[in-house]
Amino acid sequence: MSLAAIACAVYFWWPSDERVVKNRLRGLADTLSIPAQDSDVGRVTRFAQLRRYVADEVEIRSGTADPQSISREAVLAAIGSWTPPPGGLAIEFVDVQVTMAADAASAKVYLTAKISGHDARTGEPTVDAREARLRMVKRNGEWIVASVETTDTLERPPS
Amino acid sequence: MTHFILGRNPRLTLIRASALIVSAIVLFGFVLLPVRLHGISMLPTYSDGGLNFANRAAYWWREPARGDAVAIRMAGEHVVYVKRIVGLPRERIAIIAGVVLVNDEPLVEPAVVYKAPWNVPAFTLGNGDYFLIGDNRAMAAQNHDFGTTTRARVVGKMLF
Repeated sequence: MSLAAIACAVYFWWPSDERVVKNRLRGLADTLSIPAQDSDVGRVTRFAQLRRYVADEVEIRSGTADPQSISREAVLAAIGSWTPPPGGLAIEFVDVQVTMAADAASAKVYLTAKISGHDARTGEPTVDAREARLRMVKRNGEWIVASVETTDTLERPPS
Repeated sequence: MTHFILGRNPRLTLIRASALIVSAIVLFGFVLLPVRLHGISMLPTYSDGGLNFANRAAYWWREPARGDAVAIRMAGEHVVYVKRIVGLPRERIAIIAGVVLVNDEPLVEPAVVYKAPWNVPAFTLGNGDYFLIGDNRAMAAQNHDFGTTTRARVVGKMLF
């Protein structure tokens, strides 16, 4: 019985790059989340942390649009200029699937980003979700985001 | 106390409890996917905050049909869309002033109470593609997630 428990513990907690990437993504989701009572200090701290998750140049692609290469500073500026909804929002990455490259220096990630917040007018809780594919690379021992591609689960017909 | 929990025949009680646990694991792990509904896009059929189940077994022996309310997977099944199937593979779909046309015939949709004047130019679905919309057509089209998806993304039919 105890042998089975040890085997389970080893299986679930054995260190692996895949587990490190998933933990890193949990940290990124926490950093992107905005608490209900946000302060200037909190915002600055989050920005400083966010810098550690993003590559110098990030390739961003939304739906079927052409990919764009954007600098880390531009990404941070875009996030900084965005006005968060009152009551904050919580970001969670679920159904995270990590595929490591053969050299273990990069990884492809497929996930659903779940965004929980409150409606600005009614105050009712809202939940939104988007599928995303990320490419993460290992730089100086840290996993950082090198590309982000959002996918439409339901593809709008041509208008 | 032990006698009270396990009953007069502890062995039989344990077998029953094990059977119950295994049944629950099979039922909720492979057949019914619990779904907590968020949002208003399926009003009035499903209201915000309601609990339902996606029945995977519904499509083990038949393909999804028009009018089925279904769960659509995203990266996995922890977050799903719930929408109604409006168009089937290879059908020609259009929406004119809120009325859905399937192969140029107006579609009767008993679940839709009010239709805002949405317009979508005609297009033809590919093999294995389905066209889905929520029941709440009173909302503006740009605020409503609808569109085409593939058979592989259809998790199951909503149970009730």
